[in-house]
Amino acid sequence: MGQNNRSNIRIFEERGIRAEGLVLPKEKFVFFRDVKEKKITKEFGEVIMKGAEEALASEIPFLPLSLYRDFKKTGIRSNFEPAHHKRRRMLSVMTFAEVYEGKGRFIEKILDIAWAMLEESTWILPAHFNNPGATEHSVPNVYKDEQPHGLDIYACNACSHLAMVYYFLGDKLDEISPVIKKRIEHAVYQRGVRPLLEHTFGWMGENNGVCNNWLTDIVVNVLLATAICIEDMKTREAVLDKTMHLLDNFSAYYPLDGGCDEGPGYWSAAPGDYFNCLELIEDLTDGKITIYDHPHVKNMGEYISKVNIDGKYFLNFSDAAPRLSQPGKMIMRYGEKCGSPELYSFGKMAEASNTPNLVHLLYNPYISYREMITPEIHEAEKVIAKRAVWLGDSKIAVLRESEITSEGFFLAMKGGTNAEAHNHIDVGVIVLFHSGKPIFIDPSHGSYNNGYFGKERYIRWYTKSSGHSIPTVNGYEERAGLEYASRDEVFDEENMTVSMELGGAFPEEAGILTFRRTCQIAEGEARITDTVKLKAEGDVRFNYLTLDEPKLIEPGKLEIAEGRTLTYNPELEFVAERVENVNLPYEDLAIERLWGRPCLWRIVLLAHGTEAEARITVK
Amino acid sequence: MGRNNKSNIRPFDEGKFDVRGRVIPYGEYRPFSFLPELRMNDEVAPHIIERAEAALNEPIPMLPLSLYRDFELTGMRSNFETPWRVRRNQLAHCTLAESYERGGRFIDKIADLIFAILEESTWVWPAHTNTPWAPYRDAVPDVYREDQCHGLDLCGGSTAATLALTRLLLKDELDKISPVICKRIDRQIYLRATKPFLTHKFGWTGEYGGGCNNWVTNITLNVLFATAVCERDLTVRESTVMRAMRYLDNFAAYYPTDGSCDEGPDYWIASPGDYVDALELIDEMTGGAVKVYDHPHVRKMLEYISAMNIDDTYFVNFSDAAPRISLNGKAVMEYAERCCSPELYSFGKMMAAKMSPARYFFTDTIVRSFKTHATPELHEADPVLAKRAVWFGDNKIAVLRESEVTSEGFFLATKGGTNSEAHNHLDVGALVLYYGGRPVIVDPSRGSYNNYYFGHERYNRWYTKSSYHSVPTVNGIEEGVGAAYASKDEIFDADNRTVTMELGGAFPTEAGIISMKRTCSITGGEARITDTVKAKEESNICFNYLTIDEPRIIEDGVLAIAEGRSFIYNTDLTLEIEKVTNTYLPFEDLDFKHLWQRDCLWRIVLKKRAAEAEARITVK
Repeated sequence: MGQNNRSNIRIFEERGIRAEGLVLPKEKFVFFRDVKEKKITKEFGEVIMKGAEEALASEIPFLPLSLYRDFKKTGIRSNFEPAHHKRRRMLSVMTFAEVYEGKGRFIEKILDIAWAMLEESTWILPAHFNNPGATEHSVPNVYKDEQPHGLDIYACNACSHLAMVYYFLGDKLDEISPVIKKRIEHAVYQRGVRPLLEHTFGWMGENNGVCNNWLTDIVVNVLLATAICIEDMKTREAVLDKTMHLLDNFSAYYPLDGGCDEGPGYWSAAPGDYFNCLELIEDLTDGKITIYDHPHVKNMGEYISKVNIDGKYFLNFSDAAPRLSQPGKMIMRYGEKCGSPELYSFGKMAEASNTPNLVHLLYNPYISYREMITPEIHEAEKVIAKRAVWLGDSKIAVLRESEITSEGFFLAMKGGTNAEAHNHIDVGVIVLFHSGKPIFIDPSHGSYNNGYFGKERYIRWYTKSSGHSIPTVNGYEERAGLEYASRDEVFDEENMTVSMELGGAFPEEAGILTFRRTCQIAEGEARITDTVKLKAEGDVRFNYLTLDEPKLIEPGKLEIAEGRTLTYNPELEFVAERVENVNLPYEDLAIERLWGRPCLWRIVLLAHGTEAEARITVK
Repeated sequence: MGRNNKSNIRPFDEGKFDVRGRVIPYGEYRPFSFLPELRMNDEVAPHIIERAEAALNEPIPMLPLSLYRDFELTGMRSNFETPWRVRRNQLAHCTLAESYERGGRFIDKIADLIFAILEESTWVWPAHTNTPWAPYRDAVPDVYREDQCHGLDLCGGSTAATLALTRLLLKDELDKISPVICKRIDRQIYLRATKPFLTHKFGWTGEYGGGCNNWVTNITLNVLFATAVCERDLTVRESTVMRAMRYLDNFAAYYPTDGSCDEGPDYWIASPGDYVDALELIDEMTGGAVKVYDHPHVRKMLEYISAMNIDDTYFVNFSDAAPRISLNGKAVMEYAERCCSPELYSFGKMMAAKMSPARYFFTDTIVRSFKTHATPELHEADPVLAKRAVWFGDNKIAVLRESEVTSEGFFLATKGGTNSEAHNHLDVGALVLYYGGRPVIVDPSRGSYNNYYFGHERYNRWYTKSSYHSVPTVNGIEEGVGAAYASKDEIFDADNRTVTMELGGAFPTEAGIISMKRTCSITGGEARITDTVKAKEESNICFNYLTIDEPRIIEDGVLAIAEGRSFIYNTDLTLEIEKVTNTYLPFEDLDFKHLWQRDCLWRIVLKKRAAEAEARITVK
C-alpha cells in the first residue's frame, strides 16, 4: 500500500468499543473459547515429540555479548539469530511436548531455557537495535532500575513463549518454586506490557500512520502474554484498549482493496495476525468484542486468495518468496468468521497440501497451538479462481486463461510506486506462468543482511527494475521514491487487458516521454507490448526475466521455459544474459533454492532511436 | 576461636576515627598506590598469558537453572561451582593479560565474560542457600526485579571485586566498545554488593550474635574494593568505609587474644590476611587518615601463622586444614611490614622464595592476587629460625620443637580447647608429631565439602572422630560435640617443653571416664607421650595413634614407624595395627594420595581391659 491509498477505516473507534468492564480476569481466561475439544492431533503430536526429543538432546545455545555486537560489526544477521531463535524453538516445542505427553520429562530443560531467556539482557534482536531504548553502541542498553525496554517483533514473542510455559505448566513451575512464575510475570510486564503502554514506537503508526506487520505481530504477542500473565484488571484493560487503537491504525493504513503491499509472504503476519488478534480479543472478552462482520476485515483477508497463482505459487512482488505455505487452518477460520466462502475454500486447499509443521512456533506459539488442536485437512475441493482481478489501490492486475488455476496462462502486472513496504524498484513488473509453472518471474529477495534495510538495498540486481522485466532506457533504471510511480492504469476485464504508463517511474535523465506497457491474455496467448518514446535518439533494452536459457530458433522466435514459444518483432536485436549474483557479498539470492536452477536468464531485446517498441507473444 | 575466648578488642573504635570528610572522592581515588605500576611483573606474565590464551579458546560455560538447583537435589557442590569458577577465572586471567599487553586481543572475550556474569540471576552460591540472607527459596534464586536487593555471600563479594578489578584496569578499552558495560558493572555492584552491605542484616557481620569468621573479612574486603573503584556517590563511599570499620572491629573483637585462628592455618590467609588487606584499603580510601596496623592485636593475629609452620610448606593442620599449604609469601611479607614483625617477615620471605610464579592463587582474593602478581618475584631467602615452645592460651595449642631450625629434630603439637570450634573436628587432645620436618603422627585433614559435611552428617566420617585424632577411647565411645566437651587443667611448661591436659571432659558421661590425662614433651632427642585413663569401672580402654606408614613390629613393645623412628610402648598393653581407609561411602572421601601421598593411613591401637590404664610412648 502506498501512502495515498489508505482506507482510513478505524473499526473499533467507529463502533465506540472500549475495554472497560469487558475483560475477563486472568484466572477465567482460556484461549479458543469456541473450540470444545482442545487436544493436540496425533499427526501434530508426532512432529512435536520428534522436535522435543531433539531439543532435549541439544545444548542450549550460548548468547555472549560478542554475538550481540556481531551484527553492527559484520552486518550479518545469521551469526546471532539462529542461536537466539533456537532457544525459543526448543522451549516451545518441549512445552507442547509436555502438554501432549504429560510425563514431566521435559520440565527441567524447559525451565533451563526459560531461565536463560529471563537472564538475557534484552529480547530485542541486534538488527533491531535502532529500536528506541534498546541499545547504545551495539551493546544492550540495560543498566538502570526498572529500565524500560524497547519492543520489537522478537521481544514480544519472547513474552509469548514464556507465557505459554506459564499457562500450560504453571502448576508444575510452582511445585519447583513460585519464583519462576513471578519472574515471568515481571519480565512480561517490564519487557512487553510497559513498553507497549508507555512508549510510542515508529511501528505503532502513531506519527504518520505508516505501519506494517510489526504492529500486528507485536500486538498479538503482547496481548496474549498479558491475558495469561497479568493480574491487574486496569492493566489488562489498558493493554486491550491500546491493542484496539493500534489495530485501528493498521486497518486505517491498509488500502480499501485489501492489497498487502508487503506481498503475500507477509500476509499471514499482517492481516493474518490482525485476524489472530481479533480472535484473541474475542477470547479475552468472552465473545463480547468481535468485528469480523466489517467488510474491510473481509477485503484484507481475501487478498491472499486473489494473489495465489496455483498450488503454493503466489504473486511474489517485493520481498515475497515465490512459493509459500499458507496457514490454511487459520485462513479457513478467517473465511468462516468474515463470511467468505472463497477464502475458506482457498484455505482448505492450502491446508490440504500442508503437513503438520512448526513454522509459526518461533513467531507466535499461540498460533502454532491453534494449528495443533485443529483436525488435519487431507483433501480439498477444486478452487475456481476469477479470471480477471484488479486491486485498484495496489495497482495489481491478475489475468487468467482458465478458471482452473492449473491450466493455461496466468499473467500479472503491478504498477504503484517505488516507495512501498519491502520495496523493490519494480513499477510495471510482470509475472507469467503457464499451467501453474513459472516463465517470467519476479526474482524474490536474498538475505536481510549487509545493509539490506538501508542504503545498500538497491545495489542488488534483484531489487532493480532491470531484474523485474522492466526496460532500461539510456542505461537508466527506475528510481526509488514515492514520486516514481505508474499512472493512467486501465484495466479491461472483458478483454483481459491491463495497460499502464510507466515513464514516471524513471528519472528525468532517462529522457523518456512516455513508456506504456500493455498486457493481455487472448486466444490462448499471453501478449506484452512495451512502447517507449524518447526526447532524443537513444538506446532501449527491453528486459524479460525468465527461468531457462532462451534458444533462438530464428530471428523473431525463441524457445523458452515450459516448452513455450516466444515471438517478437524481429527488427530488435536479441541477446540472452545469464543472471546470477556477482556483487558480493551483497547479492545472495538463493537461485537454486527458490527457482530450482543454477542461474536465471534475461531475454534482452535491443533497440535504438526516438521510438522503440517490443511486441512479445508467448504461446 | 572458641566461644569463650573473645578478645573484645576493637582497634578502630579505640582509635576514635572520624571518617566523615576524609574519604577520597571517586575521581581522585587511586588504588594500590604503593605498587610500582598496575601491571603484572614480567616473570609471572607468561604464565598468566598462557592461561588467558587457553581461555580464549574455551567456551564460557553455561549456568542453567538446573545447575543452580543441583545442590539441593544432589548435595554436590562442584557441579555448579566448577563452571561458575571457570567464568571468573577466565575473566581474571584475560584481565591481567590484557592489562599487561594492552594489545586488545582479549577484550572481546572480557566483554563477553562481563556480560555473562552480569546476566547471572544471582552471584550467591546455591550451597549458601541455608543462610537466611540468601536470595533463594526452594533452590531457585528469588530474584526477578532489576532493583531487587540481593543477598551477599563470599561469592557475591568476590564476583563484585573481580568485575571491579577489570573495570579498574580496562575501563577505557571497555568504554570504546560501549560505555554501557562499565555503567552496568557500577549499577550491579551497587545493587548486589554495596547496597546489601549497607542495608541488610547479615549474620556474618557479627552484628547479631553468633560470632564471625573469614566471611566478614572476605566480604568486607571485596565490597570495599568494588565500592572504592566503582561508586561515585561520596556519601555511599563514606558509609561503606564506616560500615567496614565496624564489621572489621567485630572480627577483631571475636578473635582470641592469643591471635590463634580456630579455623586452622589454611583459613588464616582468608581471616587475618583479608583483614589486613581491608585495613590497607581503608588506609588508602582515607588518604592515610585511618590506620590500625600497629595495634598489638593485629600483630598477634598475623604472627600465628609463622608459629604454626612446621617446616617447608607443612603446617599444623587441626580441624579442616590441609597439612601442606602454599601460602602467599609475598602477602605475608606485606603484612609483616604493616605490623612491623621481623619474625613474620622472614617466614614470609621463605614462603615467597618457594612460590612459583606460575602459581596463581585461586583461593586468594582478587585484590591479593593482583597485588601479588604486580610485586616482583623473590628467589632467595635466609633460613628461618622458629621459637622452640609456643602456647596459644585461648585455643589451647602447644607447639614444641627439638631444634630452632625447622628441618631438624622432632616437632610436636597438641591442642585442647572445645568440640565446638569453627570447622570443628572431635579433636580435643589431637596430636601432631613430625621428625626432620616430615610427618610421623598426623591429623588426617578432611574430605570434600560434600554430602552435608556442614550438616548432620559431619561426624559420620572417620576423619572427624576423636579416635582418629590420636585420642584414646573408653568402651569405643568418641568425644562429644559441643562447647561443653572441652579440655581443662592445661599446663604448659615452656622451659621443660612439656604440655599436660585433662581430656576426660571432652567425652560424654556414658564413657564412664573419671580422668584422661595427656602429657607431651620433647626432651633428650625424644618425643614422649603419656596418656593416663581412669574409668569408673572395668572398661575397654584403647590408646590410638594415627600414623602415616605401616608400623612394623621389631619386638614386643617396639615398632618401626615412619621416618625411621622407633615407637616404644609399655607391654602391658595389647597391640593392634589397623589400616585406615574410606569405607562409609559416599560420605567418606578423604584424598589420601593428594594429602599424604599414601594409599591409606595406619592406626596404632594399644588396648587394655581395666579400670585404669596408661600408655607411655617414646618416639626416638
